[in-house]
Amino acid sequence: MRCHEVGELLSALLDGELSSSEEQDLLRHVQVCPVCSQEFRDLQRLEDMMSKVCLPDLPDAAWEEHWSCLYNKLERRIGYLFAGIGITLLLIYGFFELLHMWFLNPAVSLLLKMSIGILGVGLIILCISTSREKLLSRRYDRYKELVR
Amino acid sequence: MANPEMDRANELPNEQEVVRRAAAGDKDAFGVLYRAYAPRIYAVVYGLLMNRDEALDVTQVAFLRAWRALPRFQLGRPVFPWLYAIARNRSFSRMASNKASSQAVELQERHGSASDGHDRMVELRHDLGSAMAKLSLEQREIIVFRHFQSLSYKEIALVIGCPVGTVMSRLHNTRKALRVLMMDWEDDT
Repeated sequence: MRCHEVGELLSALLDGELSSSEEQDLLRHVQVCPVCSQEFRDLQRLEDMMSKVCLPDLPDAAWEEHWSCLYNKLERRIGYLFAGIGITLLLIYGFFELLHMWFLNPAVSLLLKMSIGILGVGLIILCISTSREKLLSRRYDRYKELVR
Repeated sequence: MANPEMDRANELPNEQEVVRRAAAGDKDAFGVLYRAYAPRIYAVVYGLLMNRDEALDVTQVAFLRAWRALPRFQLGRPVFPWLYAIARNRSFSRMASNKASSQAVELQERHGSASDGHDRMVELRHDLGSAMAKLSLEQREIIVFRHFQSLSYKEIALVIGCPVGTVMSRLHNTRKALRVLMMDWEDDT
């Protein structure tokens, strides 16, 4: 084994990721090569430092609190879904009722029909435009995923 | 789980049954998944973002997305790599839009480690945390998985989604970079 073949194998040796034959070959080289031997000692020193520290964790109570917050969000999601479906159905029903009561009724004057028709078209355009703007601005909002 | 490489990356004993129930809309089953994996997801995300609040946010967003995507989850696959992939994407995009947040990784003394004295340990935690903050996201990620989650190379490869050889070379290069950053500290010893 030569020095240029050793490189990352030293890390693997440190982590116990080599087969016993690979390990023996590598150790044989490390014992006779001062450069690789020094590199292995440096890696061991780093490993020793890393073994003394760990990442901070949260207490169990904090996780329970976090979960109940998430649970409420999941539950509300179903509420939003049903509310959305209900509103859509009501709007469709209202539209057909309006059509039946006003637009197909010969007793209602043409001017009133036109006024209500134009008002309806205006509201639809405003609704589409506002929704599109909200969607586009959300796409580029850096903080959209912050759960407040 | 049949795949022995995933034993530690996939610690919930009856995971597939829990996933099946959660995918069918059982929130209690989803809670089991959450309690099993959220702390681990949070730890890795914290290692990437180096900010507790952001790490908690990303963990929460990842689980909200997972809840929505669970009905499409392919049963039989391990859940942790899937959950982590969601959190990882969020972390990387959060980091890309928030470059100023990196200061240092806050580290704690590991229980049962040989003590070098309080002051020395405080110094080590500080210097190592600052050095880790100077690494790239991919480098921090691999250090966190190897050193703080104790995953094997195969497990890391499965979780990150790259070949084992890439894990080995990335880990070695990261250690070399960390060694250079910690050179002064090492010289003190």
